[in-house]
Order: sequence, then C-alpha cells, then structure tokens
Amino acid sequence: MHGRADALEPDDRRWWWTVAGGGLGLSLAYALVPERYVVLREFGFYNVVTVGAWIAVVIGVRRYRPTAAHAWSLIAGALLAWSIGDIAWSTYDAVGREVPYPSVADGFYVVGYPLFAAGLAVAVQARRVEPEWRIALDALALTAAALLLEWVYVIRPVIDGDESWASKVFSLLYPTGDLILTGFAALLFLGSSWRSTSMQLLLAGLVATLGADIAYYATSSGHGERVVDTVYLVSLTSFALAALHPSMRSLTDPGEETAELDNRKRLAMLGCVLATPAAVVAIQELRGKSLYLPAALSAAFALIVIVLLRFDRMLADTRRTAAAAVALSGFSARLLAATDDTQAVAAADYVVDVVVHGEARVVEPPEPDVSTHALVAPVTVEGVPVAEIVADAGPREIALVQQAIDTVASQLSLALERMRSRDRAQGLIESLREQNEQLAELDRIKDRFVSSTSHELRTPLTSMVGYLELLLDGEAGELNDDQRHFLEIVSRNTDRLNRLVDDVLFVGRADAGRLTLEPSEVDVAELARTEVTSQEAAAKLKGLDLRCETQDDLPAITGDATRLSQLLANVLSNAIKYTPAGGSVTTTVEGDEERLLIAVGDTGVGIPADELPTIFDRFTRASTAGSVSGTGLGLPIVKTIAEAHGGTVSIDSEVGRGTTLTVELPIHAGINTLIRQAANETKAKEVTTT
Amino acid sequence: MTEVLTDNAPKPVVLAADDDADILELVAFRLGRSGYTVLEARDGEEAWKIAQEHELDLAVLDVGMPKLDGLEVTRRLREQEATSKLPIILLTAWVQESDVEKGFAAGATDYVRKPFSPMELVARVQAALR
Repeated sequence: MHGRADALEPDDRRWWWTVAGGGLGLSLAYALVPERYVVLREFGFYNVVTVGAWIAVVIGVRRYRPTAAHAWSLIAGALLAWSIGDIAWSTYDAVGREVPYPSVADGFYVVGYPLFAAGLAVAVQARRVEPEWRIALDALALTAAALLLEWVYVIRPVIDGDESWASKVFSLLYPTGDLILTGFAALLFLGSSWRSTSMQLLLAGLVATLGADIAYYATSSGHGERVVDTVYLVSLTSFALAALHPSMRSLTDPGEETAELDNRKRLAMLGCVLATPAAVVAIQELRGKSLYLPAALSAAFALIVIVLLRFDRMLADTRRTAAAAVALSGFSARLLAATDDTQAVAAADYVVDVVVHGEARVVEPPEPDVSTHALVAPVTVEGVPVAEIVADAGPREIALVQQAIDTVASQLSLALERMRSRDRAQGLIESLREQNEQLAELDRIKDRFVSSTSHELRTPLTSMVGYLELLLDGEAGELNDDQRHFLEIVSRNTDRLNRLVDDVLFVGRADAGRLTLEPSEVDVAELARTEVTSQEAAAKLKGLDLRCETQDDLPAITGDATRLSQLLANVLSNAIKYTPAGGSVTTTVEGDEERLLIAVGDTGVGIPADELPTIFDRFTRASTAGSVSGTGLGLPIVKTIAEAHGGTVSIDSEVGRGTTLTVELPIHAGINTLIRQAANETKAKEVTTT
Repeated sequence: MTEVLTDNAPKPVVLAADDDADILELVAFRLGRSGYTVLEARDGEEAWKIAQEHELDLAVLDVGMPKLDGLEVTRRLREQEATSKLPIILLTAWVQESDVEKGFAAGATDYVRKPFSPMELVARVQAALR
C-alpha cells in the first residue's frame, strides 16, 4: 500500500525540476532586484511564488490522490491564506502606503498557522501515529525550546514594546501560531517516518518558515527583512515541490515503515534542545541585550525535567529490549534442553510473551483459517502445521513483531522436528538393541549345541576306547588269538569312529561359525617338520620314503598353530594313505615376503581329472581311493583351515603318477617385519627316513 | 606295563568323579589295578562331600557333571586350605582351547581329553603324585 512509486516518472521529472528552478530563481531574483522596482519585486517575483505554492499543492492533490487528502488541502488553505496576506501587504507596499499594524494581511497570516497545523494534525491521525510517551516528550521538549526562543526574541520584545495592548495581543498570535505549528510538526516528524522526498521537503519548508519567523523579529534592518523574505520564498517553493512529488502520498499513508529516529539522533536532538537556554543567554550577552534569565532558567529547568523523563523512558525501552534479547538467547538454550513438546512450546510461549510485551502467545492446535489476530506465524513439523504463534501489534511495530514471531516459530519448528527425529532414533536404537539380544541368544544356543553334541558323541567313545584297551592289555584275563584279533578290529574301528567324530565336529563348528582361531606367531616350517616326524612311524610301516625340505629364513606368520598342525596332519596322512609301498612323500615349505607355499607331493594313486573340481566337497572320495578307509572330510577340513588363514588350496594330480597338494598362505607384512628381527634362525633340513 | 605299588606303602587315595557310570568304572578299575584306593562319586556334590570326609592324594574329575561341575569343584577345593595343593586332573569332552584355559584358571593341575587311553591317565596320575 505504501507508495513504492515515490520516484518521479521520467516525464514528470523535467516538469518538477522546472518548478524547482523557477521557484528558486524567482526567490533569488526577488533577493537581488534593487529596492526601487517595487511592483516587479512584489508582483513579478514574490507573489508569483506565494500563489504558485498553493496552486502547486492543489495540482499535487488532484494528480496523486492521496488518502485523507484534506491534510494537503488544509496545507493548501494555509498557503492560500498566507498568499492573500502577502498580496495585501504587497499592495500596500506598491501603493506606497505605510502598512498598518495590525492589518488585513496580518489577519490572513495568523489564520494560516492553525490551518497548516490542522493539516499536520490530520496527517498525524491518518498515519496512526501513536502519541506514545516518548514521542510526546520529544515533541514537548522541542516545543519548549521553541517556546524559549519565541519568548526571548518575539514575545518579550512585544510585551516590552510600546504598542497598544490590542496590537500586542495580536502580535502574540504569531508566536502562538509558530508554537502550534512546531508542536504538530514535532509530533508528525518525530513519531513516524520522513524518509520520503516529499516529507523531507515539507520538513525543510517548515523549519525555514519557523526560523524565518523568529529571525523576522530578531532583525530590524531592511536587508535583514529582505533575507527573511527570501527564506519565506524558498520555504514556499519547498512546500510546492513537496506537494508535486509522488511521495506526497506518504504524508497521510499509514506506512509500514516505522523508522524512527534512532537513539543516537534522539540524544543529539535532545542535547541541542537542552543547550538552547544556554545558547540564548550567550547570544543575548554577546548582543549586549537583556539576558532574560528567569525565562531561560525556567526553560532550562523544564527541558531538563523533560529530558530526564525522556531518558528514563529510553532506559526503560533499552531495558525492555535487553530483556527481550536475553529472553531470545535464553530461548535457544531452553529449546535445546527441552525433553518434550510441552516444554518446547512453553519456552516459546514465554519468550514471545516477553518480546512482544504480552500481546502474543502460542496457540495449538492451529486455529481455523479465520484468524482474529493481526499477525500469525505458523509452526510446522516436517511440513505439517502443528501450532501457531499469534500476536497483535500496533502499526509501528508490525514489522518487528512479525519478524520476532517468525524467528520464534521457526526455532520452535526446528526444535520439535529435532525431538521427533531423536525419538525415531531412540526407537531405532531400541530395535537394534533387541536384535543384538536375539543374535547373542542365537550365539549362546549354537555354543550349547556344539558343546553338548561333542560331549554326547565322545562319552560313549571314551568307554569303548578305554575298555578295549583294558581287554587288549590283558587286564581281564589272557586273550586267545581269535579274541585278540577280533578286539583289534573293534579297536581299529573305534579309532576310525573317533577320528570321524573329530572331523565331523570340526566341520560342524566351522559351519556354525563357532570355529575360533587362536592367533600367535607360527613358524610353519617347524610345524611341518614336526608333523613329518610324527608320521614317520606310519610311513615306515608302509615302506614309504618321507622327505621334508624347508627354506631358510622363512618369516613366521600370524596363525593358529593347532589348526595349521591339523591341516598339515590331514594332508600328510592323506598322502601316506594313498601312496602304495615303495613310493615317496615329499613335503616342501618355501616362500617370500608375500606368502608361504606348503606343498606335499606323493607318488600315489592320483585323482582323475574330472573328479578334481569336486574333490574338496564333503564326504566326497576319489574313485581311485579303492579300499583305503577315509571319511571324505580330510580335504574339506584342509580347505577350511587354509581359507580361515586367508589362504588357498590347490591340487595337481594325475592318475598313476601321484598328487601334489599346495597350500598358499599370505603373510601379514606389518606384523611380520617385527618378528623378523627376533626370528629364530631356521635352516633347511632334510629329514629322511629309510 | 602298569606299575604296582608295594603292599608296605600306604595306598594313595584318589577321588574319581564322572556322571557316566561306565567311564567311572573304567577309571576306578584302571587306577585300582595300578595300586590306588579309589573313591567314586557320581556327581559334583558327592565328589565335594567325599573330599570333605576323606583325606585325598589326588582327584580325577569329569568337567561335565550335573549339580556341581568339575570346574566348580576344582575352585572349591582350591579355596579350601586343606585341599589347596591337591593335584587335580580334569577329564572333558569339550574341545576348544578356551576350555583348557578355563580348566587351568579354575586351578586344575592337568587336563585330559575324552576319549582317552586309560594307560595315559595312569601315567599322568603317577606324574602328578611325584
């Protein structure tokens, strides 16, 4: 609504500047033209301006159609009255007669003031300027200073003068008019924005007029009069230009902009006002005139009281602003500390209460569309409105209050959203914890299964193995050959069963993920040598040649010694089992920085090529195995252990020629280098048995 | 060959505990033949009772017994002043290395896995008593 179009349109611009130039030119001309050209002076220059001024205002009103146009109309009326007075005066002057006092001119002059003041009063009302304490005090201070000036320079001289009482009374109407004008102007300009061009011109004109009025009485020389008159002309030009500018609408616009004088400017103004009595006394002293001390002192006193009151108001304002700021900053902290929605909303309610002086509150759930409040700020959680902050504010504060409740609303929204997602996270954590519990329980079940199965299988085997041993040792009496023979068969098979149970349990644990490696630094070469040594007897029985070749300086690897032994034992026993008499089994351990290679080669029966891919499957045995007993779990176990160490197993075989099984194990370089320095010296040994 | 102690020396008293009757008989028979007096217990509580009532030279305990398991009996025996230095051999079907650790942590002297050779058991008993 507020006219953003307060700039002149290009067409109007030239026109406006022409008027400006004309007015100022005429004023200058009036000032400079010699005394004797009275008619030219008065009617060619002076009154063109005075008449032009109110005509300009009328034109401006018709052109721009401001609201409450009668404000401008009253101003036009005032200018009209002044111009009639001026014409009358000029007529006297032109005719050469001495101007009587008071005259018709004076009548019209005096009437102009209240008209102008009325125009300003209408503007004040139209702008909905709230006469708050502070504005009233400021205006009062200004008026008091103006009063002092009027008193010293106008009123007292008049009273002390030697005119008749009637004319004195009349004379006092002028300062009265000035003061009324000052008062309303102060109210208008101190209470609202005067950023627009028009307002600034209006203000300039008023200041010029009032200043000239005072100066008129202070000076008495002819030249002084001319200067004062020129200033009147300039002020009239200013009024005209103000009315002709598009921003003239802002005089009566209840604008949203409530840019008041900030505190510093206010203080500056009050300081000047306060200094007025002292200044007046000083000036009077300099001029050697009466000091008017009582007046000055009373004015000073009144001004000090006003300024103190004003100061108190300013302090109160500052305190309130500070309280609001504290509330706002405390608000963030309270929002963070809030554990549920109610607390967050309560915090918002409190802060809004403090910041907007009790005229606002949080409403939840949001009221239906027909809102009875002037200002509303929605509170949304993930796009869904859950509450509103509603407030009422005077026109001066609308922008500030809206901003404040917007800020609070957005912070509250964020806080509520944060609480929602925190609750969700909490829920997630809870469900994860439950899942963890379930998994842990599953683990416990698996453990129980593994140990109870093991226990169940091994207990009867213990009795079988044990009692067989007793019998075969002759503890229950001498055995005949048949008895011995049969019992040995049973014993062999019990051993077989025992091994099978071990293998099955191992594979079962690996499946259930219950196989744990116990890592340590393992010298694989040494393990290999030990295994080979322990299998010597079996090999010898079969008439096999057992060899072991290990490389020097092989790095130790991080691994489970027991499992690696198990691996080696399995591979070796396989090799020995499937190699007929007279053959050989060679074990080599070699490697480099990156990996170890353990190879066990035999000259045994070999595995057919088409069976190689599935040879590592469980319970799978090569067709060439023939009558050799075996569980079919040996190779799967080897593969499991190798892979558990991050390694691989491969087989190379040819039927009738033999088989070589190679296990490749990686070395963890980092750990290894440390070991290297403390490593035992390992030498290649050749262990041969014949 | 089994070592048979002479009749002059007092026979060492050995407590054997296992919940499997056959295994218990096996152990008792073997140890008895080797010249030890064997006191038999079918569960941990019985084993503990016997330990209280008799002076023992060694205990052979099955780990997986009901009521009181071998580990618990071992711990109790260790806590008691009289039996704190008693040689204890644990028998078990459990397989993990961590089980071995648990056994030694409880205070066992030795650890034999099932199935075992009775001769081996006797050898360990003799070693423990030396």
